[in-house]
Order: sequence, then C-alpha cells, then structure tokens
Amino acid sequence: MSIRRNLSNVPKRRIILTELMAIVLCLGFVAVFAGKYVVFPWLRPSYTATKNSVTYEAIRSYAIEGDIRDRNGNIVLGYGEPGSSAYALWPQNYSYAWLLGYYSVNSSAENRFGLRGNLKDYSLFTLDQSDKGAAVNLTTDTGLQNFAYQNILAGNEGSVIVLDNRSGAILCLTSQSTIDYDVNDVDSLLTSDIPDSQYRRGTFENDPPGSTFKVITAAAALKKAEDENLGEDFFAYTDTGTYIADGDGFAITNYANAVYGDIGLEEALNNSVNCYFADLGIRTGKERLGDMASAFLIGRDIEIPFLDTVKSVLDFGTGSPGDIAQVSFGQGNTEVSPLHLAMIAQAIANNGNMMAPYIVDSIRLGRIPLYKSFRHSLNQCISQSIDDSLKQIMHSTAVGYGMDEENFGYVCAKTGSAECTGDRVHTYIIGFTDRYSFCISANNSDISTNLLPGAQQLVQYLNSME
Amino acid sequence: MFRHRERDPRSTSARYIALPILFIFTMGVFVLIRSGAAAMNYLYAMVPLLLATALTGTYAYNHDADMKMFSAFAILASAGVALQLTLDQTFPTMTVFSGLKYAIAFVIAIVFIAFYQVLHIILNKSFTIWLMMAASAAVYTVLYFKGMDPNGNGTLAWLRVGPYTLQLTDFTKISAVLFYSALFSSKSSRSEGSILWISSLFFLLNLAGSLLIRELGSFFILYFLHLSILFIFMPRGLHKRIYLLVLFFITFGAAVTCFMLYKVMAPMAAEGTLSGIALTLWPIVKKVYLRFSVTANIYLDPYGAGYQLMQGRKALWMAGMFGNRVHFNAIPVAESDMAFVALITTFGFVLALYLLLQFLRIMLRGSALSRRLVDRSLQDGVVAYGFTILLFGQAMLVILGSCNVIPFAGLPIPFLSRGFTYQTIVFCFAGLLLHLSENSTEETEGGEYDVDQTESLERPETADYPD
Repeated sequence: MSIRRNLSNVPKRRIILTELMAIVLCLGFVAVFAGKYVVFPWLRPSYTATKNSVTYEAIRSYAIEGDIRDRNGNIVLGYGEPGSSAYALWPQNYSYAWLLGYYSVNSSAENRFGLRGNLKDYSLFTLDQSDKGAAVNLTTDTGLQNFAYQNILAGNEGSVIVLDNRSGAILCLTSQSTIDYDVNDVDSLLTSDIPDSQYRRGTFENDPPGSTFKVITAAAALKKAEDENLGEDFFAYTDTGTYIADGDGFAITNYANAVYGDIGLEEALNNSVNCYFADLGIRTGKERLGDMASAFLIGRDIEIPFLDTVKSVLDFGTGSPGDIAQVSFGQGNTEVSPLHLAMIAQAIANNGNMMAPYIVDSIRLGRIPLYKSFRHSLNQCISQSIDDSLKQIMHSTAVGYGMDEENFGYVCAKTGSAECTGDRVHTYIIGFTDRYSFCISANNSDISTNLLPGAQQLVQYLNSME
Repeated sequence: MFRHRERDPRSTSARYIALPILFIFTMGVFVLIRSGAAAMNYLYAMVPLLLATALTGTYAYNHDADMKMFSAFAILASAGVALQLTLDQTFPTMTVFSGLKYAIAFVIAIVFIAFYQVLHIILNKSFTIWLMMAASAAVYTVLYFKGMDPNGNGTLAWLRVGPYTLQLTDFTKISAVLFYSALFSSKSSRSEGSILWISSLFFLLNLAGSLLIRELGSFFILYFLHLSILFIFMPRGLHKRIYLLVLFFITFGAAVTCFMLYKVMAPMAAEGTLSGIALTLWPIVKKVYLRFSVTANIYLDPYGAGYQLMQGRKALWMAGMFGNRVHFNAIPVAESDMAFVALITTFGFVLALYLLLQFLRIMLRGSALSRRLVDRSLQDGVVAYGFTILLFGQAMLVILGSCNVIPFAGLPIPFLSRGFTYQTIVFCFAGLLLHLSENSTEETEGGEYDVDQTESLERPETADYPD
C-alpha cells in the first residue's frame, strides 16, 4: 500500500534562515573589507595615508627607493640602501631639488611634492626581486639642468624651462625659490617663512605674461587679416608714445616713454611697443583675442603626468576697450605660468602644433615596463601661414636681442615684463631654436633685457647639444 | 517510487567543469606574477590538477551531482595549491607543500566515500552514537598520553606516526557529524529530553578532551556544530529553547569567568605561586583572555598574542586589488592559520573575495542539499548539513579570526591551508557532499515518497515540526 506523507514542514525554514545568515555574513564581509582596504584608499586621503604609512613602516628596513635617471641614463636620484633614503649628488641635489620634491607619511597624512611624491607608488611601493623600487627615466638632460641652474639662475629666484620642439619632452625644468632647497635635506625647505617659498618656480606661479603675450595678440591679428583678407594697412599704426582706450582714463605708454611714429607689426614686436599692441588688440577684437588665447590653451588646465597641473587664467575683466588693451600687451588679469609660456614657444616652433609636455619618459621594474609616455598633440593652435609670419617677426626680434644667425643659429624670441602685485616685476624671455623651445623666468626682477645674456648662453648651450 | 527527474540545467551544466579548468589556468597567471619558481612548480601541478578536475567533474556530471558545488570545490582546491606553491617561494614557511600528500589525501577521500554505504548502514544502528562517542574519547585519550606539538603552540593535538604527524583532532569532526546523524536517525525514536542529554554528554566529552589536550580551536568548531545541529534538526520545544539559551549564557559566563580569573591569577602566575587546579587552569584562562582582549585591542600585546594579527592587518592594508607589490611576507604561519590573509596579500582582494563567495556557494548548495535529503532520510540530511557547516563554519571562523573580527582560533582554512590530515578530512567532506547530491536534484524538494518502498525514510514519531 502506498502511503503518501508530505514532509515539506521539516526544519527547512531553519536551514533557510542559516543560509540567509551566511549570505549576510559573506556579503557584509565583502562590503566592509573591500570598502576599507580597496575602495576607500582610492577615495579618501586619510585612508590612503594609512595604507601608505603601514606599507612604508613595514618595508623601510629592506626596501630601496628606485633610481630616477635622466634621458642619458645618468642617475639623478639613487644610491639608496635598505633603511636609508636615496640621494642626489651635487649639484643635482640643488638643480633637480624642486623637480624631485619629497615624500613622507605618517598615520594621518601624507606629505608629498614633486616627482618623488607622485612616483611613490612606483619607486617606493613597487619592488623588484632585489627589493628595489621601479626605475624612473626622465626626459631631462642633467648637463643642461645643471648649466641652467648654476649659470642662468645663479641663485636668483626664477626658473629655466626647455622643451623639445617636436615631442614636448621637458629637457630642463630647474628652479630657484627664495630658499635653497637641497633634495637631500628636506628640512632645508623650512628655512624661510616667506609666503609661497615652498613651491616650485616655473609651474606654480601664475603672473601676467607681460609682453610675451604680444605674440598671441599678433597671432590673433594675423588670423583676422587672413580671414577678412585685410591688407598691410590693418597693421599700420602711428605711435605717439601714449594710448588711451575709448571710455578709459588710463594712459598706456611704451617702455621708457619711447615714441616710434609710423610702424608695422614686425617693428612693433621688435621694440615691444605697448601702444601699438593695445590698439591692435582692440581692433582685432575681444572675441578673436580670446579665441587665439584659448587656442594656445590659456585658461585651461594642462596636466603633466607625475609632475603637476599647469593652470592659467584668461580674463578680459569687464570687456571694456581699456581692459582689452591691457590684456593685449600682457597686463590685466590674465595669468600664465612660465611652463605654459614655454609651451606657447614650442607650439610656434612646431608649426603651430602644441604638444603635451611630459617629463617621465618611462618606468620599469627590472625588464617589466610599467609606464611609457605617450606623445600627443594638445592643439593645433595656428595655421602654417600665421606660424610662418610669427616666426619671421620673432626671429628678427631675437636678432634685435643680439642673437644673430651667424653666432647663434636660427633663434626666435620675445621678452616680457609683468607688473605684479606688491610692486614686483616678473620678467620672461621665451624663444626657440630649430630643436628646442625655452622660457627663462625671473620672478623678482626689474627689466626683461637683463635676461638676454642668460638666454644667449642657453641658446649656445642648446646648439652644442647633440 | 521517486518521480522521474529531469536534469536541472542550472546545477548540472557541464560548464561547471569548464569553469574550474579555466580557473586553474588563470591561477597560473597569478602565480607567475608573484614568482617564476612558483609558476614552474605550479605548471607541474597543473597536470594532475586538470586531470583530477576533468575526471571527477565528468563523474559528478554523469551521476547528476550538484555541479555548482563541484565547481566551488575544484576552484578552491586549485586556488589552495597555487597559494601553497607560491608561499613556499615567497614566505618563510615552516614546511614545504607536498603534492604527494595532497594526492594521497585525495585518494583516501575516494576510499572513504566508497565505504560510506557501510557507514550509512551503521548510522541507523542504535549503538552508533555510543560508538562515535567512544571514538572521540579514544582520540582524546591517545592524544593526552601520546600527543605532541610540532609547532610549539602548547597543544597536544598531534600524533607522530613514523616520519609523519597526524592532527587527530580533525577526526573528532567526522565522528561528531556521524554522531549527530545517528542521533537523529530515522530508526531511532528518541524524546526531546534524551536527545538533549545524549548530545550534551557528547558535547561535554569534547569539551573535556579539548581542555585536556589544550586544543580549544577544534572545540570552537564542534561547539558551533552542536548548536546549529540542535537548533535546526531538533523539533521545536520548550526544553530545546531553554537548553540553547542556557548554553549561550554558560558560554558568555565562561568567557567572563576567564576574564575575572585572569585578573586574579595573573599576579600569582607572575610570582610563581600558582598550584593545584589553578596551575592547570592558568594556560586556558590566559589563552582565552588573550584571544578576546587582543581582538578588542590589537595593540594590547603587539609582540606577543597580537603579533600574528598585527602582521595580518598590515598585509590587508598592503594587499590592494591584486596583491602587495613590496614583497611583504612577515606573517607567521602563513601557510596554515593565516592562509586567507596570505592569500589576500599574495593575490589581492579580488581573488580572495571571489573565493569567499565560493565558500558561500558551498554553504548554500550544501544547505539546499540538506533540505532535499531531509525529505528522504533525516540522517543523510544531518550528514550533509554537518559537513557543510564544518566546511563553511570553519572557513568563516578562520577568515573572520585572521582578519581580527572575532577571536583568532588558529585553525586551518578548508582547501587553502596546508596540512595532510586536514586536507584529507576536507576532501572527505567535499566528496561525501557531492556523493550525497548525486541523483538529488531540486525537483524533489518538498516532494513525496512512498513509505512502503523507502522504509528508511520514516521519521520518529516523537518528532514534531510545527513550522
């Protein structure tokens, strides 16, 4: 006989209850531990600091900080031993100091700056079989870096930046702040209480570009002339030494109150005639001027991998003729960093094509490549015809600076002096040779022509490089 | 007769053979990234791993076994082999992983499963509960007189047989599951009171034995098994409810008592004036106190009881998604007690959490199997649930303990830790679960049966399952 009994009410519910408890337990564990140890260290600085602090403390007795080398394979920072930090030989400990920066961490915060700070995940926290961090290869040339630091900056506050015209690689970025930072002695950073002493000159400071901006104004005017088929008359101007924009009571004058009479674009750039460019800027128009500045990426953040983000400001104020005139010859509220000015020179040198700047070429862990730079264009800023015109007038300007073709080869250049807050004058010279672009910047100077001897030395050094 | 069953496409799909095979190859990449030498050893190990996975997978598939469960077992086993081979090259381990022992453990498990039919018959005999009790008592007695401690942890859980050491306490887990299975046997008709008395006797036997050989870790898991089996398989009743509550409060009270005793005995221990029973109790009191207090505050004893957990915590911070990149290997007993943390720091959180979900899958599939078997044979249901809880429960105790969420028990984690005895036991559990899942698809859940043709499926008259 078949007796059917339904046993569906046996302790299945209790088993299901334990299944649910197991699910909650496992998912809870996954959520908490993945959050604490994987997700939050990406999102929250305090968790990142804890993670790196724990790692640093655990490995400091055996880990060796990875070498940082220049483009020729010379060690810039290295020679580390287990338990002791890597260091730089003289004079790289000063010439590279602001570039290399520092890294330290405790349980609550990370202190990091420059390449060492930004490359820590590779050079400190990724070790090869011999417990040595990954090797970082820079694009810099140590000879050039030392030369620029010792001979051009020579202890003065400022920076020297050299870029490769074709690739945008940074061959030199040496800085001098108001303190002598020694990368082997982080405490040397604390020897000054002057505001902003602890920042790298060349990428940090944003000041008005001064007369270097006249290159942008000239490019905008050339484009207008090209677009609207305007003749030479558009560029003709009779300089009286003073210019007052419509509706503005402020009188713009030329340097040393010079008067140039009837002049054109080339002569105006050669002599950096403020009145001419104030007038040309207003006639070109705020929109075209703004478009050209934007084409050179002024007003846009530019990231340099592992180094910094270069910031700039494009500001026409109220947009009145007076404000446009100020911007047109490089004053007003527009702010650009020296590295960005070097990039503008590089773009003109490279037929109008601005390349993304980079300083870390590659990172390797033994034979394993961990990172390789990617050369790419940021923007085609100007057309070939405008670029040719700019090169022509910048070349004659450089010749006027004493850099004739016979002794210096083909050089284009433009100086600039910016009046900054606190009666400080920031001077620049930007330029380029066939292969390299540069910007020399003096943060506390009086006149840009003081930079010419340094620029001449730099060009001769660049010409001597292979 | 059972109704005709159709193959459940979700649980019996052949893709659950392909998945672990793919996983074995993937683990090769993980191992290669950590160590070339380990990758070479893993390459050799892959041949038997792939063969064993393919053959047992095919066997399980052909016998309508639970393929999801098989997949979880195979994935965890291959991850364990990969981990152990990598640890040998990257960590300062006390022993070397033996592929031969691993294979022997696998073969012993096959033999055990082959003989399960005999055990199954014995489970229906009324003397079996006493037999299992005697087996456990024998294990503790042998260990008390002949036990040794190869790791210097102060326990007597090991027995040396020639050149080999066996952790005999692992066998008490098998006898425990078989004991509870026999206790709830369909052939036995026991009242609620007798079940509680007999199981309590067995429970106290294990407690006394564990205290004698100073091996509380294994007792931890037996305690967990005792509670869960009684909670689930005993019919609802007042006695059961009171018993479980009392047991809970006794446990809580024991922990509190240990804390109080520690405060009293610590100065005497420092002066060396402990004697008699106090001297016997002191190692246990101290161990319990340190386990709990270190869990609450890991910095309490950073170079003593908390050292292993401190190093484990460092490893967790460094691990990241794919393992630490700084060769951190200062984790004591990484190959066994701290295997899960070693896994995280070696291969990263992604893999570790995936494997945790495989443990969860074992729990869910094992529980589902138990639910199905209860309809046919209560003792098989208890066996399935018991082995499932021993695998999942121990895995969670180790995972949570080594991650300092609960007191650290110092147990091996199934599949991932090394140790011949425990690997053998784990393979026996896993194999038996797969064997029980054969021809037991989800369609029979809550089903009906013909009593006259499945006599053994009758349940005790006294049982009452009102829910």
